[in-house]
Amino acid sequence: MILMLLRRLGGGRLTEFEPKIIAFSCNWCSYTSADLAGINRYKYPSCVNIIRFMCSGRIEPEFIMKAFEYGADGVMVTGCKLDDCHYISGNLRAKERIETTQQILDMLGLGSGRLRGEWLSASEAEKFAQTMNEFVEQIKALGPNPLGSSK
Amino acid sequence: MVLDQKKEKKVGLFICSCYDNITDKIDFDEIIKFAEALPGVEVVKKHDSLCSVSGQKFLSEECEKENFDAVVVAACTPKIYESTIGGGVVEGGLNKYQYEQANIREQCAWIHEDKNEATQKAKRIIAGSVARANTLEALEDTKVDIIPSTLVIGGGVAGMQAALDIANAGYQVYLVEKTEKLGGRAYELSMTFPTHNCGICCIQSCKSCVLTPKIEDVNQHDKIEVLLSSEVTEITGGLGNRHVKIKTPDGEKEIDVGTIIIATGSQIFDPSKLKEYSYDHKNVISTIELERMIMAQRDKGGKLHRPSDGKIPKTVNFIQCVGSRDANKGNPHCSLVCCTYAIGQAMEIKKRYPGTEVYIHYMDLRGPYRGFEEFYEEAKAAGVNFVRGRVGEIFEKEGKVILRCEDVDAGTPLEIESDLVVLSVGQEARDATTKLAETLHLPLDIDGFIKYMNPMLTPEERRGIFIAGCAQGPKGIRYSIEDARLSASNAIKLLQKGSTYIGGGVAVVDEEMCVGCGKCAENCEFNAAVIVVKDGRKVSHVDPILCQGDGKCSAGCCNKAISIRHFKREQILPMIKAILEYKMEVEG
Ligand code: FES
Repeated sequence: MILMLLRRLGGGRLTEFEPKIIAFSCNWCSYTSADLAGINRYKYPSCVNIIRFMCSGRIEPEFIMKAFEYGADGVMVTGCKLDDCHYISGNLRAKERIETTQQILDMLGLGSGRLRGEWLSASEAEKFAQTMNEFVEQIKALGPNPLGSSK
Repeated sequence: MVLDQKKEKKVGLFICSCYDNITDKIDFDEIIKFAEALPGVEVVKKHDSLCSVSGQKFLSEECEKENFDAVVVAACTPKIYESTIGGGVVEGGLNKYQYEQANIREQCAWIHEDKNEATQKAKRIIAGSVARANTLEALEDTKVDIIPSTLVIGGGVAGMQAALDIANAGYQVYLVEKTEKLGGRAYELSMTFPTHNCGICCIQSCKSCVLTPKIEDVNQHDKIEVLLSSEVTEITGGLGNRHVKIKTPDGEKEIDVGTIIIATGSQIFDPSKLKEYSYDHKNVISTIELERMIMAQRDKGGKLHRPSDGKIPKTVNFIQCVGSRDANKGNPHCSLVCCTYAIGQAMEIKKRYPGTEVYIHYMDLRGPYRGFEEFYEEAKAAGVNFVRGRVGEIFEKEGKVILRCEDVDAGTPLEIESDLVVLSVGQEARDATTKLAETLHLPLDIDGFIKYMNPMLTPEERRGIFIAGCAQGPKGIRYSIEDARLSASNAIKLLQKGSTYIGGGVAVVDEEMCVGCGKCAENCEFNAAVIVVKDGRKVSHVDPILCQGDGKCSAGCCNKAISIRHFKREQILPMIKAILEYKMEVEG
């Protein structure tokens, strides 16, 4: 792995670094805000890949960790506004889980900055796009996931 | 690309050009070539509009011919046409859970400028969806019968109207009212907007309106059982079948109902909370008390006497926004009806005693109703004075009530003597409603009212519970009644069906793995997961009718013993993997 790490960090790779981002989005608000971003043609980088869940409360820390294991450079979890989960409190649970997972990421040396939770209403399309733009920039600054794509 | 696959599946992939909406940005030839090589994919075809009738016919014919295990449609967002396009697939013989829609329009073609970039992303999305499709399994929806009866909680105008509508549609209604009479607050009002006439003008047309018949309609309806001085103590069960316990004066009553209407209304802000307004003074009254005085005067004749000495007031000052729009001491929300009713009362006083000076102290006037502007103009013409500015304090000096306030427009501080002060109190959430919301797992909004449901939600998505009137926020009478009729018609829609289906995407327990720790039950807000003893072991048990499929339980289970059908780990992880691995190949 060290070899791979060196390879990834070395040479001209950094300049052309295009991160791989997975976004886990809840069906009711945040996935809709992503759709609305499309309808309004708000741009964000194509490296963001959205996976839909019914609620952000379904998102297991394991999904996030696996995404990093499979080579994601950043993981974004989006849910409804914090007091507005379709299932009452799913996003509150998600928030707690994200915070714990961030601690683990810090411990592993991956860095908590690679994981972010964002709480959006269905109408916040512009914010969705803006959040994604920011996050991609943040991940670019952090550089590639040192685990790389190990499998 | 390697995918965790147990057995070979046959997946059909259909891509929709959306009449060039998608093909403008995504190179379909490249996609088709790429997709054909994906594991499990045996057929890749393109169409111009899969959501059209011809598109669905095409899909169903393809499915019938090819006998797929799962179908992926790469097109627009599933949030719009999932059931329409998926309908074609179901028509063709597949289970609706063996269908996956890849969003390459809203979340790809419409976002990314560069055609190559968009095409690459579309490939990743499709790779992910195909990987998921390979893991999808057929699920059964659960059939539930809807008991043909309704519980209406609250016997105000909203509750009565909902009860009448549902009973008139032929269903049994139980109307539970906490107090000893029907009618609620609306029946305590002397006049309402916009006709400035009796309190229930919106319930029946003015000419024929007398207070009692409406209540009598409810009382005499053979499909409505009115339970006065009664309270709901317990509600169990789920959509279509709820068991309700009611405390009545004749003991406990138990009923089973198919739908529930919550019409518990709002309560009036208690002005004694605001010490600076000296509500304990005899000549400082609330608008509700003024209403009662006007009513009493109407019934018994006589004059509008002020409480302290029975004198007819020569000056009357209305204070607006008492307890409303005041985050510190009252409620942050606007109560919506106070400007209108204060103007009505001011005009009433002016009409009876033209010599009396009437002032309304306001921050801004809010009357978002048709006819409000004319109403306001009429009041001004009648001589009602409108003073912009908040009243700082009301106090007594030498036996007189003095207002310390401000005229913002004139820029002058004022101290006015007033014979009578009327506090325009606002509506706020009722404590009982909050408790009820908890029992029924309904979310509250920041003001403590039951949260507005998105109007697009179906009666099933509302779990057979509908809200009417002020339980959902301050409303005028007319709007409460409109609300009640809408809620009633939603309930009737469900009752008429007789039975319905609950989606199969619910929690499922692996009893081998479960250690009965109860974490899932703790995480579940809908009481769907409970711990039971089975064969001498504690295990979790899920009621598919109560389960909403959100998956909080599953994400919180340390033993991975509980999962959500259609969103199982085995169905999510391959998708993540496929999306990320695709990128590797490009880079590599
Ligand atoms: S449904 Fe959006 S966070 Fe729960």
